[in-house]
Amino acid sequence: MILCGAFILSIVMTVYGLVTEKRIAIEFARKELVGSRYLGAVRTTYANLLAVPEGSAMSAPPIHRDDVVFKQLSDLAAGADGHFDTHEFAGALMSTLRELERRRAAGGNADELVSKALAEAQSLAQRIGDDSNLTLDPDLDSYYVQNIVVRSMPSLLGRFSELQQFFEASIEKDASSVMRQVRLPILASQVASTAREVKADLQAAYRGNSDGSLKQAVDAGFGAMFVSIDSYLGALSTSTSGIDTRDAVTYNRFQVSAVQHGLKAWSLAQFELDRLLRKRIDGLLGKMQWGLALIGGLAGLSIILAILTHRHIVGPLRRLETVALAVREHKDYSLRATHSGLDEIGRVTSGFNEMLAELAAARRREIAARSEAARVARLTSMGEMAASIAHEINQPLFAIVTNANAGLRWLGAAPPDLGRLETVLKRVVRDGHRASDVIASVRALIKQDAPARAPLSIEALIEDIRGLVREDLQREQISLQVQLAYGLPSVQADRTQLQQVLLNLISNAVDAMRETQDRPRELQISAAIAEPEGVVIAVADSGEGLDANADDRIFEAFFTTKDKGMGLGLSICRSIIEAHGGRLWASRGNPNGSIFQFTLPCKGDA
Amino acid sequence: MTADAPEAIPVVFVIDDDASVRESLTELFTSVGLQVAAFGSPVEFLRNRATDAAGCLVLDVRLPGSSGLDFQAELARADIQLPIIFITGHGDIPMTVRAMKAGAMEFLTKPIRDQDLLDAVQRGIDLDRTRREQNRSVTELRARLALLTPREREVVTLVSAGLLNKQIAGRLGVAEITIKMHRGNAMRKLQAASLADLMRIVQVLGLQPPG
Repeated sequence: MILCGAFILSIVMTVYGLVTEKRIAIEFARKELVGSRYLGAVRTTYANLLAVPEGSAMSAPPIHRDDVVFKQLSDLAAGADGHFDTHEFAGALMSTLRELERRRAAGGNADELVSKALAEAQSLAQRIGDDSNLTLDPDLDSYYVQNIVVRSMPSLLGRFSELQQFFEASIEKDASSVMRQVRLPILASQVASTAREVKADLQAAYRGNSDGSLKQAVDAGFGAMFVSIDSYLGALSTSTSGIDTRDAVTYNRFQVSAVQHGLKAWSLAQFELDRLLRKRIDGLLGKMQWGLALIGGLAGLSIILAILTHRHIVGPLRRLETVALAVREHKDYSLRATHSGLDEIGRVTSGFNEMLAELAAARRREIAARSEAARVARLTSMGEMAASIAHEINQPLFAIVTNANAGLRWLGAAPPDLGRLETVLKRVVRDGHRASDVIASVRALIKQDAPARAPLSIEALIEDIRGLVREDLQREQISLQVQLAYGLPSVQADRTQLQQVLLNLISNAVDAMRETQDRPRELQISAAIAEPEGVVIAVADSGEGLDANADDRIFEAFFTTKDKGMGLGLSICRSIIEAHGGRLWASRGNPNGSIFQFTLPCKGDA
Repeated sequence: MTADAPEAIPVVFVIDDDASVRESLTELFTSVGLQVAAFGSPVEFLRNRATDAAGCLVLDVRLPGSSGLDFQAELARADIQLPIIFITGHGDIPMTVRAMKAGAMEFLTKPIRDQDLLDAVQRGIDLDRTRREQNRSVTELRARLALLTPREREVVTLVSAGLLNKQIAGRLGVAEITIKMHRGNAMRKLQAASLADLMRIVQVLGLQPPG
């Protein structure tokens, strides 16, 4: 999740960076475009100012054109003020233009005002150039074109106007030829040098324009301008010695042509500048789209990679985890994680599976070893049991035979000792019964192979037992407590065998308490529900308690801690309980005595 | 020489933890006129046995407290030399070998024919009697030997080694007549009827020639 977040964040940052960078560049170019439009308005002003020959009465002053220009200028000044600090210059220019209009309407000489307006227009153009970033243009072609548009052309046209005013004034006022001879060439050379600047800028712009479209668009216009400037200056130079009024018309035509060509070239250059700027913006937008597309593509690729990674790494790992959890929970070592492939995950998976197989094998070995050990223990205890049973039966049999032999000898004596014989025969009878008792007690072991099972109520079982042992307990001064849990289920069991077990445990408890003098002799029989095994029945006494050494041996056949007893009791009890599918175990009582407990399953399916 | 000594009545000692077996064995031995004393455990036997009674011991290998074989070893340590007859319900070969090596007289496995047991007991009683007689004669010879002077004992030892009177006189640095006198005294004191008798007595007593 953290990785995912970091990934998304890095994409967002990259997109933001790219868009911001391009947006700054585009804003930059757009501002230049606004400046260029503003300059268009300034150019119109120039056209108006220069199109009307000063003092000529041949045509009426084009007031309506000035009105349009005013409006344009004021609109632009208002609209661009946020960006441009041109308010002062525009205001000054407009007031001069109004003044000029009034002067013309009054028929006064407006030369000074025209010069002033041109100077202010030039300053305005300069300011527009500065404030609209045009003078900071980053591309070579558009840089030189803006230089022409913002600086050179206004300057050139201004010098035209200056030259023209001086020329006309010298004719009208018949100024001294010396003055004309000094001043006129200076003004003419200023025009020529400005024209050379324009030409140099133009050449530089051509060099910066790689596709040549600029030259194609403006070369003809500027070429015509330079030709007409050359013609105009040539005509002026031939007349430096003397100019008369007749020539004035000719010069005027040259001048008008030069101004017209200049304005046209300026207009062309400005159009081209717009085109170049728009082209740059389009290029920037295109680059931005490309960049975004690239980022999008990379992001998509990354997502695909992430999905593939998830499918090939996280998925298999998760499956491994699931299998590991399942194995831990269900101890089913036959489970396997599925993943085919020879990559790292495949190797990890196969390693994991091998580990599981190894675990399963180890577990099988362990179970086999355990059951083998149990089998051996069973066989051993069977062998011991057989030997002990043989001994227990052999003893009375040996006594019987020996007694019988002795009896025969008493009988064969002279005279036969019938008194002894009777004693011996009584013993034979007694020992015969003893042997048959041993066999009867062993029979329980054999009988348990086919127990007669029937639903048996625990309450009834314990009630029967209580009746059977009451007298014995009273004689031994033992108090009996019975605690039965509510709702005990009935069990499938052999009633007689369970009675035998309980009687045996109680008899053991009574024996254990026989020596108990310093505390109450208490026998407690309890039954409770045991999950999931069914019922647990406990017999607890307050007697001597189990000897630590005898703890694990008391259930062995023929092990006994009693003076009298075969040591078969607990062994048979355990066999019976285990044949019923339950368990029998012993523990020390608290604070004293011992507790024997056994479980019985509710559904006797064992 | 012992015929006139009062013969102790031999007793069969039965040790078995099983009362029935104990009773039946007692009955059997009584029926053939043997004296019987029965005990439930080795401890009981050791506590009640009449000192130095003659007879034999009938033991079950499987005894409470200690096994019959352990008890056998215990008796040996206490220098009680009664012949032991083991009876067992399930004697195996290693157990038998062990018992016999430790000096058991008989090892009977149930079922036991009563005659076999009675024969074994009789042999045991005889063996014990013989041993006792031997013990008794050795004791008597020791008493006679004690009557000899050191010189007489020396002479007897050298005679038993096969030396002539003259040689003995030479070795001891005395006259031959003196040796003859010592020898005559010694023969009389030891009640030896002949040289052969003297040699037997020396052997029984285990006298070693000096040097």
